[in-house]
Amino acid sequence: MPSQRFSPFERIMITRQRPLETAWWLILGWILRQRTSTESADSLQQRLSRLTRTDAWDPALAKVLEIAKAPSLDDIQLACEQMAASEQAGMPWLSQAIHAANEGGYLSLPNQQILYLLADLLKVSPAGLAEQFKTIAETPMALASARFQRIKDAYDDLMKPGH
Amino acid sequence: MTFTSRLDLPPQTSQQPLDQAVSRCRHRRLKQDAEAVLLVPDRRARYDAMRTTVWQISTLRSRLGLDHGAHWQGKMAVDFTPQTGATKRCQASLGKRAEAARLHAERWPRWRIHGLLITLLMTGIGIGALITMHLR
Repeated sequence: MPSQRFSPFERIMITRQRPLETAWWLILGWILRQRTSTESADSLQQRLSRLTRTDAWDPALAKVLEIAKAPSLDDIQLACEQMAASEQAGMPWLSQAIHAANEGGYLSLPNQQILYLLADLLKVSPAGLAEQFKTIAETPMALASARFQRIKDAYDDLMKPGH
Repeated sequence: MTFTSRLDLPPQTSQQPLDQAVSRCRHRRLKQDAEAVLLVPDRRARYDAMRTTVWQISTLRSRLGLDHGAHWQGKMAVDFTPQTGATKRCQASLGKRAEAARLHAERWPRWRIHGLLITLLMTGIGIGALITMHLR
């Protein structure tokens, strides 16, 4: 059967021993790629390996992070289904996702929505997510999101012609 | 709210009709806001990237049966929930395709051995026939 019938992410999922870990890498990579700060691929790889406590030089990690630049909807869905099927508690996963999404007390709108999606997927209540976010980011989620919006508006004003 | 909903357009309106709607808009403030974002390439790129991600999330929610989740309420859900929900199961599909690939991979060496044996047999018969003809 030709290998083209599998996406690059699917091939990694099939061949790696730990599909759950691979699925989680893609989701965290997707979050890291939504951050506003520009980080090198090496830096993101180090960050992802620290978050997940995996070997930074695992070749699959770099490949998944590359896929996370512009993942297909099917790949993200596959990763989400894998997470939903796992019987592990949702909060530890969500904590890692919050660490990945939070940029020093700022939270972009896409990352806020990804956290909401993960919370629903992992069956974490809105109150549970809000509390965990506040614990990790040391700021309420709504404030982190509003701060991001204010910074974005200020940047947009600064970039206006004639400023 | 997104500019598309504020301009009373369908959520996935493409660039040209969106630009036309902005130029036709009579609401001064809305027109200013839309132009400030949509007509500046850098901002437009960021707005489009953000919108694409939120659309991906809303489609995922629909496919995963999470479009009534506790975290998907209010304006965002109203603006971005797809009109037609298409359920899809990627994990099951991958499982089926991987199993088919495994069976194919297992079958292939068996056919190769059979093919090799048949080829050897036919070659032997051919050589035998040639030798017989030569001896006559």
